[in-house]
Amino acid sequence: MGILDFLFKKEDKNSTIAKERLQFVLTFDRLSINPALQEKIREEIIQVIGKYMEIDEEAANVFVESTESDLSHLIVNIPLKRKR
Amino acid sequence: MGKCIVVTSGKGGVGKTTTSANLGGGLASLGKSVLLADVDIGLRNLDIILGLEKRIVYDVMDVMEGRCKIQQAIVKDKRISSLYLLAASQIHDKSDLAELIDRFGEIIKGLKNQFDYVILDSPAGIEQGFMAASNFADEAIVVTTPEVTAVRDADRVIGLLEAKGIKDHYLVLNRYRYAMVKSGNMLDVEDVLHILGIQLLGIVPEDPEIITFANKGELIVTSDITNAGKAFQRISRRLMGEKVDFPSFEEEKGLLKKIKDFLRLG
Repeated sequence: MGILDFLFKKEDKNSTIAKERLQFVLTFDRLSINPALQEKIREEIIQVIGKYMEIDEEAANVFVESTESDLSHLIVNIPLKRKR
Repeated sequence: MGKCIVVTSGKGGVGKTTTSANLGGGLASLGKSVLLADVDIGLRNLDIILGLEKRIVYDVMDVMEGRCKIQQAIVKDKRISSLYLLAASQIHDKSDLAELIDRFGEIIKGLKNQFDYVILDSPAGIEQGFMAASNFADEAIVVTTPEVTAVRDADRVIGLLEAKGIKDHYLVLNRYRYAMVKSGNMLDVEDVLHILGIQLLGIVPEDPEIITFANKGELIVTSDITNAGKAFQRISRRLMGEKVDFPSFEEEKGLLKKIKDFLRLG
């Protein structure tokens, strides 16, 4: 079973690539936003948070995610730098 | 009072006209009175799919502009007794669009009193033609194929239908290739339904017979021996509210394919 799993890895399937690409474009289509706008939102959020806290800008991440439900979520993940 | 159903897709060439015609033929074969209306002004095709191209004298634009009565423009099908066609105009008129759309709505209302089903074959795209067709529909059938382009456009159309308040919309997944799905090279039906969040009305397998029937001007839904014909029969029954099982892979394959597969393996 282990070998079979290895040979027929799901992520290698052509149809899986299609599904993931579709989900990506539809997330933006449905919200009428584009990836460039997402980047702009990311930069501005970092700016605002950065005014009050020390953050790890490199690792900061802002993205839209579609989940199983009808709702899309804006995921904001900003690591804070530890103060010693 | 009959029901008005719009058949739409967003993307062109995915089988809207074929689906409209065969659903109409399927419902009519089950004893319903059906009017198929071609809304693709300037690019009509339902007449040729039904083999009625030589019988068209008046079209929907003639009715809207008062050159004939609605009854004069309705053409009876050659083979199926309760199936009728209202052809689209081949000439693109530049008259007042808003007024035309109003008149079109009046025509649809009248037709719903006369037929059990009024099926509107929407043009591709999301422009005025699609808007006009979906304005007056009670339900919508969205046709797509398992291709990224077609699914993306279908999603857009579903969004617009919901915005118009058409809550009853169903998916027809056309040109489905079971072998490609099985080998992981085509989006499967579950993927498409999950992405689009829509109820499945039926799957039509890829079938070369669709072309040969269209060439002859005959409806494949009248054929009990083709895979696509059987699929359209099931879809028609589901549309009438009957619970019809979705057949599995093997049933769709057909004997010849099974023999071919066997020989290839052997």
